[in-house]
Amino acid sequence: MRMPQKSIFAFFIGIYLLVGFVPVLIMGVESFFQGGHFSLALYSEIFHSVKKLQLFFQTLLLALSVTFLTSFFGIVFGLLLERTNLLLKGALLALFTLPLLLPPYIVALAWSHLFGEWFFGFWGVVFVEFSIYLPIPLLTTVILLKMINPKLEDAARLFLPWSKVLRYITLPLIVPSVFLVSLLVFLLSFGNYSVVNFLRFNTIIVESFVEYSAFYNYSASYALSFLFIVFVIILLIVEKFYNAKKKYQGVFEHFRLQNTHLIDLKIYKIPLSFGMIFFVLFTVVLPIALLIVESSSLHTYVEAFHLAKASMLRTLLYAALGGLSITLFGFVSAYAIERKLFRFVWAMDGITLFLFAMPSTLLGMALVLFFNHSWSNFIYASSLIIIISYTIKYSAISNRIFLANMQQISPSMEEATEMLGLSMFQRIGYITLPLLSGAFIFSYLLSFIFLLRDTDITMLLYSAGYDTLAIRTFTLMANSPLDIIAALSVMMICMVSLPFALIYLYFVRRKNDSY
Amino acid sequence: MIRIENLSKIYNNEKIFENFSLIIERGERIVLFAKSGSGKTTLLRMIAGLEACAAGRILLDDVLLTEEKKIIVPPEQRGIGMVFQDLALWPHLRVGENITLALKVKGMRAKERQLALEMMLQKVGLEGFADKKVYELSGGEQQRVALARTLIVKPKIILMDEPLSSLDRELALMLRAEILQLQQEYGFTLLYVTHNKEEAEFLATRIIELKGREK
Repeated sequence: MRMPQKSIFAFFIGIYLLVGFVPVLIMGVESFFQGGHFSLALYSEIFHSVKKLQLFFQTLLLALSVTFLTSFFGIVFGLLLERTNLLLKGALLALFTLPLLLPPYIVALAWSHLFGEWFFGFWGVVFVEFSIYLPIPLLTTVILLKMINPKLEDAARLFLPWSKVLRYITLPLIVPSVFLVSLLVFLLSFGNYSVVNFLRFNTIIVESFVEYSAFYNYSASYALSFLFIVFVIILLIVEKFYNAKKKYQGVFEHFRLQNTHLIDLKIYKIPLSFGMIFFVLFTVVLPIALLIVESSSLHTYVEAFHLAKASMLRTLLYAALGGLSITLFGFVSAYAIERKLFRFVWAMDGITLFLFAMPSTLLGMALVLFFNHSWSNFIYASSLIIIISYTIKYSAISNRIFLANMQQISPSMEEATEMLGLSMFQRIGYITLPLLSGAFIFSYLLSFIFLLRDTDITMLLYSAGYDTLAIRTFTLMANSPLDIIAALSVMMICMVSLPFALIYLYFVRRKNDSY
Repeated sequence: MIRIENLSKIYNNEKIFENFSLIIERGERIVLFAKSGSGKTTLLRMIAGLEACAAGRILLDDVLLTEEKKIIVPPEQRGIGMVFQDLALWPHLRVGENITLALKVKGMRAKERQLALEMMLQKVGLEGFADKKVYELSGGEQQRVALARTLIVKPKIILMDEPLSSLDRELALMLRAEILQLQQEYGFTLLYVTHNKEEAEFLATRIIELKGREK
């Protein structure tokens, strides 16, 4: 590729690093300075504080519990939904995915309303986080099972029953990839703010946020944040080395919508199907139904709409623009990585993942530190900061979608057009874009959904009077009647459901096309 | 004896074959000679029990294995081995583990397994390869691992789906001679798929030509 064309990619990646990664580095550096002098006093204080160490282990225990439960059930349910002849698999999969699309505190609100005071605390948080993060390992397992080379299982099926094929072949091949998403669940749980705050469970992240927002002790919260960042980096490096040894060629192929490898559950089919239906009704449908029942009057919805109509419009606007920005950047980043445009561009995958895994509150603090200056006030005091923060936070999703799709497009397809004298934009327009159209739609809709539900990063960065529906609902929770909050939550569920339904229809259409 | 009666297969609304019948006697070496897309791999998969048929039935020594859309005897109970076109070696297991997995799952003791493995490795010319990773081997060595993995469970029938198609000519010539030698030594029934006429004539006691699919 010619230099000017490369520099367009370099420009966008450079901007991303400047506004995403540099603020985090600056925050880290800031934590080592007190009164303009280098000092380790803050770190010494943290490591000598019994309360902070206790909070750290409390948070660790919470994250480990959530990770273990979601990984175990995610793999088991994923196997049942993808590999067996269970009843209503499509509907069950769609319902299991739903909690991932909702702002986590809405799920917490519904459950706490049902169970009352005793739901608050450690086990309440574990339960809510389990239900909202379960779709991550579950969907990963389903996708991996759709992609695994079927002949590896066939070769074992010639002399092993299915149970042994799963144990000796299928699971050992997919577990390393599930491990990465389990790590992500661990980091999301470790860094969650809205659920733990709502359910009154103190974690190191809440402590860091309190130091920052209530006591204006910025340096102390930067130090706590920096420790967490180091922790995230160590975990990502461990994962990288662990998985580097476990990646084999030829294990995963193209994504197959149809799966012929179905295990006949025989007499267990009906009881297991009912068990799964009951589980999904209890963990997913019940809390949503509670909100619907609680808000079941037209008057409530009218009132809620009046209270939040401007926020709803802003939410849609931010999500539409943010989705576009995330999708475009995801494409730029994945293209540069896959085509190895620069020497260290492979690191972009880790950097986007790192910024995604980093708690939103900490990322928000870093962005405030970076942009809260007179030179950048036009960004900080406007909605631009929200769009930028969304792009930084969620580009990993888009990047991974495009990477997976780009791997299916041979570089020779583009090289052939380059030989014919087509420019980069012509090549992208005639070859790459049509081949990646599905990835663009999928990435945009998925990013759109994630932005509709975002709470933590928006909460820290929105300007007064420019909130989103998720923030409006969160702030109204303190002093509004429950029926209004429930109505706002239902409205948000409806907003999220529309793009979700479009994604579902998109896959159903592709499934029918492939027949 | 394998008896295939009026077998039909429809895939993506296309008939791959219709009313296909064949009798294979014990110890025979049948080569299915066919062009790409004629359904030869699908036929092997149905005999192995990995796929059901749309119509017809397959019997092995008068035991019904498969009939219209139903797999009566699951693959692991048929005593049939298969060497896949892309070999399908398990990358997370070493050479020795690939070969002896079936014996391990069946409960054979480690000592006996080790003996069986050493014998088999010697048989296929891979002595000292037990601890190697399969993806570090050459194409010919991988081919031998796939053969050893199939032979170690002493199947009555072995199905081979173009196992030599990705190898260079010299190596393919050598390996097909080895396959013939192993077949004569173990006495298994061989159903071999190829689109190489010379290979078919070298290996077969009987050649069956499959015609292309109907639309």
